[in-house]
Order: sequence, then C-alpha cells, then structure tokens
Amino acid sequence: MPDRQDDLNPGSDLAPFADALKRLAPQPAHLSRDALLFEAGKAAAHSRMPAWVWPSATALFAAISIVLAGFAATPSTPHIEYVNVNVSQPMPDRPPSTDSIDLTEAPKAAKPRSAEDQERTRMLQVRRDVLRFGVDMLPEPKATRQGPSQEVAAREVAVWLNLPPGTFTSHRAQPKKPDPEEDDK
Amino acid sequence: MDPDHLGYLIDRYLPALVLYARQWCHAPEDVVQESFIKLAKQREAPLHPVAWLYRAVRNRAISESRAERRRQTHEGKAAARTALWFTPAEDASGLDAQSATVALGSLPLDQREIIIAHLWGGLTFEQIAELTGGSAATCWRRYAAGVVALRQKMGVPCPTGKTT
Repeated sequence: MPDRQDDLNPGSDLAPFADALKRLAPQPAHLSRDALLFEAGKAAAHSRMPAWVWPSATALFAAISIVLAGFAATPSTPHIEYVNVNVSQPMPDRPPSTDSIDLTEAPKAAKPRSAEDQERTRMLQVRRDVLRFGVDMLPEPKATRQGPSQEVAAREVAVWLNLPPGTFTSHRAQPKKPDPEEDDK
Repeated sequence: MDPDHLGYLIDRYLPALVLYARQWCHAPEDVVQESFIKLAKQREAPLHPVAWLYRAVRNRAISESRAERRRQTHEGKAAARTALWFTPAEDASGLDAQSATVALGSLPLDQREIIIAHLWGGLTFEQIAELTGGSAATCWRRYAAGVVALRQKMGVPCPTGKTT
C-alpha cells in the first residue's frame, strides 16, 4: 500500500518534514458556512422537483380563485324550475284542406264531432280508395233509397275526384256531326 | 445528503479544498462552493464524499482556469502573487508560511497537486491515483520527489544530516 510505503520506505526520513508541512494551516476560505449550507439546501430542494411545477400550480390556483370569486360576487338568479304539464286544448275549428291531409294513413284518434264531419271523412276515404284502386271502389248505389239521379251522382263524383268535366261521359251518347260525304251522296 | 454530514465536510475540508483549487484558478472559493452545492444536489450521497469533492473541485478548477486564461485578468494574476496559501504559524519552530507558499508554488503541478491532496486533504494514494488518472505507485514517487524538492527550496536540513 502506498500509505504503508510512505512509512516503510527508506525515504521515510521525509516524514518529519511532511508532518511539519501538514501543520501549516491553509488560509481560511472567505466563505460563510451558513450561507454555503443555505445555498446547498436550496439547491438540493430545487433539484427534486422541476422548476415549472410551483409557478404553474400557483397560476392554476389563482385562476380558480378568480373564477370562484366571480361566481360569489355576481347576484344569484332566481331558481327557475321547468315542469311539464299536459293541457288538453281543443283543436281550432278550421276547414280541412285536402292538401294537408295525409292520404297514406287514415286518421287514428280523430273523432268526428258531427255527422257532417263523419260524412266528409267517409267521402275522403272513398276518394282515396278510388284513386288507389279504381272506380270499382265506389259504393254501390242503394236501390231502396231514392238518391240523386245518375247525372247528379256523376257530377258529384267528378267533384269529389277533382276530375275534369266530361271524364265519364260516353262518346256514343255525344251528338255526332254529320259526315259531309254522306251529304254529298 | 444529510445536512449534518455536509456541515462536517464544510468544517473539516473547506480550507484544504480551497488550497487545492488554488493550484489552478484565482477564484478557488467559488469553485469549492459550487462543488459543495453540486454534492448537496446528489440524490444519493457518494461512497467517498471527500474523494468525490476533490474530483469535483479539480474538474471545476481546471475548467475555471481555462476561462481565466481566456480572460487574462491582470487583477487575478496580481492577487494570486500576493495571496498567502497558509496562515502564518504562531509557533516559531514551525515552517514559514511565506516560504512554504513560494516553494510549493514553484513545484510542478503534478507533484504539487499530489502533495496537497495527501497532506491537507487526507486522501490516500489510491484515491489520488483515481483522481489524477495514474497509478498509486506513480503518485507515491511524485509525492516523494515533491517533498524532497520542497525541503531543498525551503532550506530545511535533512534529519540525518545529509544534504539532499
């Protein structure tokens, strides 16, 4: 070992001089022990956590405090509670327009209030059936009951179906213009 | 690191470390302070804190000496010439601080560094070898040669009467 060499080596006659040298005290450092310990402690504490953590946490909690203070400073608004109440309201009495009626689906819960409404509903249903399945869907005229004449009935059907006039007239019944060739003969 | 242990290291080794750092730079106190702070920042204390401190001081002092060489401050040179490395001994039989400073300053750096680390720092030659990057035997030879040279420069007679 070199330290043992220092003692056991023939050159150990250097030991008294080395001891005398060792007794010379180095100049004291111009450093404050407490300041050095404080700086060391501060550095040790800083090294355990990244530098941005505390400023970020401070800013976050400051922002939360400002928001909560804003809520506390504003006057409280009255508490509004919304309650759903089902109120039965009569439908407005207006004439039904044929454009707004859904022809694909029959009215479900609409209850006719009068005979006129019932008749109108029945007519609309007949009209829908005629438009869908043809003229055969027209109701059979009742023999026992004396109804309107055929001409009046055809006119009513034409009105119901919105057909142009003369759709159901027979060509045979129409007066025919005399042929000029026959006159010549 | 334990604050009590750090305080003990400051009390025991601060002057010796400043003397060690003085071999390279003109502001040894700053170098030593930064080394202590660096030691406090360590998450796990080193196995040999004194050797660790000497290594940190050496590296920092060499780096500082390069910066000083670039700056070439005349004030620093003047301060280095006039500053005493040792406190004057009250004992009349002791060595003269002024002559010791001059003699030690005239030694080659590799010898001077080893003498200071061993005598005032208390490092073993193995630790000094790790510090300087040589072998323990080489450190011992340099140490012996340096002490002999010091004795000659300071005019201290050999105990056996030989004039070495």
